[in-house]
Order: sequence, then structure tokens, then C-alpha cells
Amino acid sequence: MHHPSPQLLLAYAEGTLPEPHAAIVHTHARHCGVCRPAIHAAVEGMAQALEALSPASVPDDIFKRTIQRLDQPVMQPSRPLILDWKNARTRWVAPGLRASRLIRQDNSSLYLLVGQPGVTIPQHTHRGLELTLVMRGAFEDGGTIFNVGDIAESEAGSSHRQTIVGQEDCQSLLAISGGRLHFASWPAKIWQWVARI
Amino acid sequence: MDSPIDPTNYPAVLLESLRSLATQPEERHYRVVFDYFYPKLVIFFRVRNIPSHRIEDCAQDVLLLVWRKAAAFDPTRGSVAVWVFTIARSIAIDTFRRERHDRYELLDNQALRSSEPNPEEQACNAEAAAMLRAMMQDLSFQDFELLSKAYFEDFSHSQLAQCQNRPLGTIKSRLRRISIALRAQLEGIR
Repeated sequence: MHHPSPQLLLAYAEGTLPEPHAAIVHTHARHCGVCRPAIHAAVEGMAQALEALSPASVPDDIFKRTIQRLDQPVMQPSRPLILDWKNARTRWVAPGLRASRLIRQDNSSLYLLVGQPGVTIPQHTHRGLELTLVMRGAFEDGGTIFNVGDIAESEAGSSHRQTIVGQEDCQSLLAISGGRLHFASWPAKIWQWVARI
Repeated sequence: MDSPIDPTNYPAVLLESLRSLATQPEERHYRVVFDYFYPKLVIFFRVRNIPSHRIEDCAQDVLLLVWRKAAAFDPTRGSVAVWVFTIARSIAIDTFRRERHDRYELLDNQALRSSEPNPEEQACNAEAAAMLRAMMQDLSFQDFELLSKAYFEDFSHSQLAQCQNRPLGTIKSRLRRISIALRAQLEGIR
């Protein structure tokens, strides 16, 4: 199985990933007996790091002022996003490929992609980290097959292409940051422009 | 609890204070937890690049939640510090999100049906490229030249205006017109 890299798990545990990428790690970890304990261990490490911080000097009356706020409402901590990707409405982007944008945050986005067997997403690079999580079916990237539950991690600046393999449609979640994908070939570039993708 | 705390025994002292707080919500129990974590939380939020005017609120929010949720703390799931860290992490994420509220959206699927420019990702297999080439053959030579300069040679709109000796607005509207024409053909293919 292809798991998130240690750096990715650490960033997730730390809470510093963009929302689309965090949603992918969260969705993977919910079903992964390897990554859940790893995230737990990372959180413990971060808690130790919190304890090891040398304390800031604080105002003398801070305790009193905090106590006074006890009867006021406090913001409730966020919960991880649970994605209703199964009911997402997809739109046509290319022959054999449909997509739906589930989350947009600054220049990061989460998409649901549905591709038919044999469809290839051509050679492209991206300015930020790209993560793909297979929800159904399988695809191939650089000679490696990614199956259900697998995460494909592609560093900023790296160039790659993905082809859907097997007999059934491939549904995947794709998190990208750093804006649009940069396709290598000019037909792909123009296609991107015309199809508004 | 009024005796000085042995610094080597903090985890146990914190656990004890939190348990006491859950059953008797008294300031003396709270104070132990507060004094230990507040100054560290200030640093924590500073490291997280939370704007300085929001740091005090954030650190207070964490510890107010600690008071309120003391009874919900489950020691089998980790130390007090782990629990406080997870609350602090959530507050940091929320604050970050709130500070940039207008730039964060969880898109509902209805919104995806609008005509706004949509997914930025993917496209194009060999079949699509062939179709696109066929479509482009119908373009006039000038349009084809403009399109290939803009997308093949990565000319900016103002560079195109310069080398074609045309106003920027003309270039933009010509590109828009080509885009609409190609898009209409695309709709036909679907």
C-alpha cells in the first residue's frame, strides 16, 4: 500500500496542511491501520514539543481576565472535514474524464476526478504539492500502480502523467496547491483553456 | 495543592488538577493547568504565525475549552499535554481560516453548476488532442497564429499586443472570441 510520506503525516498532525491536502490524509488515515497510530505518535511528539517551549512572559492579570471570560461563548474547535464525495456532481472536462471541485482554499483545491479506463492525464508539473487518493479503481503513474486507498504524492516542480488502468472507472480525490497545473504539450494547454479546467 | 509543585512530576500533577477540576470546578485546580500551559501556548501561536493581536484570545480560548471540557478528558487516549495540543491545533486552524474567511470555501455541488470558470486541473488524451487539432484547422490563419503564440510560445497578452501592433483590448477580445468559438464546437462534441 502507498501511504503518505512521514513529512506529510507530520504536517497533518501539526495541522499545517492546506485544507484539501489535510482532507486527503484524513480520508486515507480513517481506513489505514498503519497511519492512524503514526499520526497519534506524531501528535504525542508535538505535544512534547509544546511542553518543551520556553514560556513567554505574560501579563500579571491574565489569569483573572481569562476567568472573567468563563461565561462567554468560546469558538468551538473545528472538526476534520467529512467529504460527501459520493454525491458530488461532476462536470465533463475531457473525453472520458469528469471532475468536481469540492474545496477551494486560497490557491489550493480539492477535486473529485472520475476517469474511464485508458484515459491519460498528460505530462504536467505543478508549483505546489499534488496528492491523489484512489477511492475506486486504479491508475498508473511512472510505472507504479495505485489502487484503492493509495496516496500518490508528487512534489512541487516534478513532472508526471497518470493513466487509468483496469476495467472500471477510477474515482480519485486530487489536492493541488500553487494554482493551475502546467501541461507540457501545447494541445493540452489549449485544451485547458478552452474547456475551462 | 498549595505546596510547590515538583517540576519532575508535572504530568501527574496536571492530570490530578484536571480530574479535580472536572468534579469541583474551582479556580485553584484550574490555576495549576493555566499557569503551566498559558505561557507556552503564547509561544505556540507565535510560532504558528497567528497575528500578534489574536494570540492572547487564542491562548485564552484553548484554556477556556480546557475548563469546560475537563470532564471529557480521557487519560487512556494520551497525556494532558496531548489533549491541550490538539485543542490548540484546532484553534490555530480555525483562526487561520477565519482570518482569511473570504478565501476559503467548501463548495456545494450546486455552485459547481454555475458558469463560472471551474476546475483547473486535467484534461486531454490523444483523442482530445486530435479533436482539438481538427477544431483548430477551422480557424483563420491570424487566429491560429495568435492562439499558438499565446499558448505554444507562452506570450503574455501585452507581448502579443506589442508584436502584432494592436491594442491590448483587441488582442483580449480576439482571444475571447476564439475561445467562445472553440468552446461551442466542444459542446457539439459532447
